[in-house]
Amino acid sequence: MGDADAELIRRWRAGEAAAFDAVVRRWHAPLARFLTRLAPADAVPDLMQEVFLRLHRAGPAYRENGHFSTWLFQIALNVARDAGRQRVRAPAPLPDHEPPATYAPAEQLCEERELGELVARAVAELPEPLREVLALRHDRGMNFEEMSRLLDVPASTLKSRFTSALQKLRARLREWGVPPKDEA
Amino acid sequence: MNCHDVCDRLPLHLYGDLPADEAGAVAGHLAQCAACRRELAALALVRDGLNAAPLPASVSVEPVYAAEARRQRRSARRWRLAALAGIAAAIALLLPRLDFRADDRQLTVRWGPERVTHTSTVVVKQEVVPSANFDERMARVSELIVALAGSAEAGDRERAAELAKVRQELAALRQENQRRWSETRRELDALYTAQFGSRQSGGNP
Repeated sequence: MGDADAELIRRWRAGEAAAFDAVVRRWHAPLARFLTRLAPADAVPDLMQEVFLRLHRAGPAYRENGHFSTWLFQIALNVARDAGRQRVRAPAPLPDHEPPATYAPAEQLCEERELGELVARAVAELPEPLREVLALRHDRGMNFEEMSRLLDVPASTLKSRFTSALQKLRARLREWGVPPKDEA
Repeated sequence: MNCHDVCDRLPLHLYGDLPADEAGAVAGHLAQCAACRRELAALALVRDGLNAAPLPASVSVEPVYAAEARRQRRSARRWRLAALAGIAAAIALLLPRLDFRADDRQLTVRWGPERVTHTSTVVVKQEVVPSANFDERMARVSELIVALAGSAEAGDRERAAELAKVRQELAALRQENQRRWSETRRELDALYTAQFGSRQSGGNP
């Protein structure tokens, strides 16, 4: 994937506009998922455009001495942080109705979308440092050593944050009555 | 490991981030502990929910290009205004110093105040001295030269005459001294003779 990205960047810098379109299509979903952890869902489209806008402007300055994806997610992280500073982080709104004290039978959990929405709400309640680590580890697939270089935070600290994030999400789902899966 | 130790490690274990020895220890505990296995299952559900998070609609690239185009237009507008301001300032400075003249064939723009053009040749102004005046001056110079030469010769003659006179006086003095010495010797000889007889007669005192 790294070579493909490098090739697209080279073509884009050479003036081929279609190459930039290809970059956007390639990274749209991972970026969206990543930004969804860090910002309210309704803000993500604007953040996505801001990320690609900054990418477009910074393109000529890109040097092929590192991974393009790391550079791209660094931009996304900065965009999310900038947006967070500008936005008064309000607590995630409670659902219009409280989840049922006892969730539907396990068969209905095949509705992944509902589970996804619940988890997304729980993620929105997490503090920003936990959300960042969660997004980088789960959505970006970054290991803790890479994350440590990106965020300039010790890897052991990041592991603690990641553990805390998952435990909080698990606790929130339990409060909403979501039963555990069958044993993994 | 006890359940508390294992539960703290379950998130990292689920994502494969534990070192091999710890992962083995956790797996060994899970094989024997149903409670910890349920906890791991709950975390797995969280992971599934993260994968199932709703994504926003696809991002269109058009707004990116439109925003970039607007930025470039604003930048170009600023540059145009700056250029116009510079040109206007230059015209304001130069206009009083420009002279436009047009005839049927050409337009001449002259820079600076009008002034008489000078030829590049240098005119040497020669002043001819009148010949009479020149001859007189040359004659006077010649006279001066002659007079100086004559003066030098006269001086030389005087010195030569003085030198001759001095030689003569010296010669006279020499002669006088010689004469007096000769007289003195004769007188001494006479006294000796008178006193002691002739020197040849062997008269001894």
